[in-house]
Amino acid sequence: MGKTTVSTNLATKLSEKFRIGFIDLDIYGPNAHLLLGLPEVPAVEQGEMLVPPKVNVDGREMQFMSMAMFLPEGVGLAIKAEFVLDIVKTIIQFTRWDCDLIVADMPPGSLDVVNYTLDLVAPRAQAVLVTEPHRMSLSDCLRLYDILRLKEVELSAIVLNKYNLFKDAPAFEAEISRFGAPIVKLDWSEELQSGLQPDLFEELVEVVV
Amino acid sequence: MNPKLLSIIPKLVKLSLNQWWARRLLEQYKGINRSCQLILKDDGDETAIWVGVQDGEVKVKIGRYPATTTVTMDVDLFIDTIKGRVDFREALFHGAIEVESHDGHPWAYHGFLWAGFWDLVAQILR
Repeated sequence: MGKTTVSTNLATKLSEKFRIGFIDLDIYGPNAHLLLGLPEVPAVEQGEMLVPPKVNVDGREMQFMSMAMFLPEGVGLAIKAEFVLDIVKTIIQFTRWDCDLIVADMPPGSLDVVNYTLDLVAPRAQAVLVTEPHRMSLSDCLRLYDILRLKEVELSAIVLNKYNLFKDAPAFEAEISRFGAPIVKLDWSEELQSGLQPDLFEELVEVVV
Repeated sequence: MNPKLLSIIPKLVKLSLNQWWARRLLEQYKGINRSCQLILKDDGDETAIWVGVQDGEVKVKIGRYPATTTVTMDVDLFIDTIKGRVDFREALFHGAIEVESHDGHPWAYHGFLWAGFWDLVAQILR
């Protein structure tokens, strides 16, 4: 639905004003590094904590953690589910984040990783729900919204991705406005498919900060 | 000691003669004691090797000793990783290598550090 595109661009735009940490929590299928690049050095240990390496994005440094740093290209993750949660715990609780804000790219749907992460970060976290404006995605949105309410995580914005591609988008927008969060429309564009376009995310930055 | 390990003695000697990784380990673990119990399994038989950074020195011992992590794998897999036939990280994330934590850190914490360490070893042995 565009979570990686939105989160990487949001983090890059935020890094103009804040020191940013970025976590790719799509443990099974990390791909934020395709837009942000991979750090040149590995994560190291310092004082019983991991120190996240940095990536340079648009001339600014961002702390970065992703399974892509550990999982070789083309290798699938075939470990027990509880070990996956252990990976999330390591990245969130056993990593020394030295930044003002952390942006996390979450995995799809409402999997264990989503629930577990929200347990670790609520109620300090804010959520941005990224969806496409068509009926098929409404039930996913309702479930995620329910989980956010349950975990007491503030929904700070809803991004309607590829708004210009769906003729029913205005009706979907009206329906989803009952969540009460600001709605940010993001049109599909060729440029967004080819790389970071942080300037297109100014409105979202204003809404979330 | 499992006789299969004889085939990698030249590699292990090359590793032990390289002081660069030991210096790097000592630098990273200044003031911290870290150790690993390596268990190599082979049809019910096992070889235990202890590797650690203790009081500013890198030490290797044969046998079981208290450690902050235990890494368990098949002896043939260990030989293949040392010979560069298998990527340690691939084996780890395919569940062929078991990493247990004994110091309160999550499993993955040690797994990530081991993945980085093994890259160093592979680099030296290449």
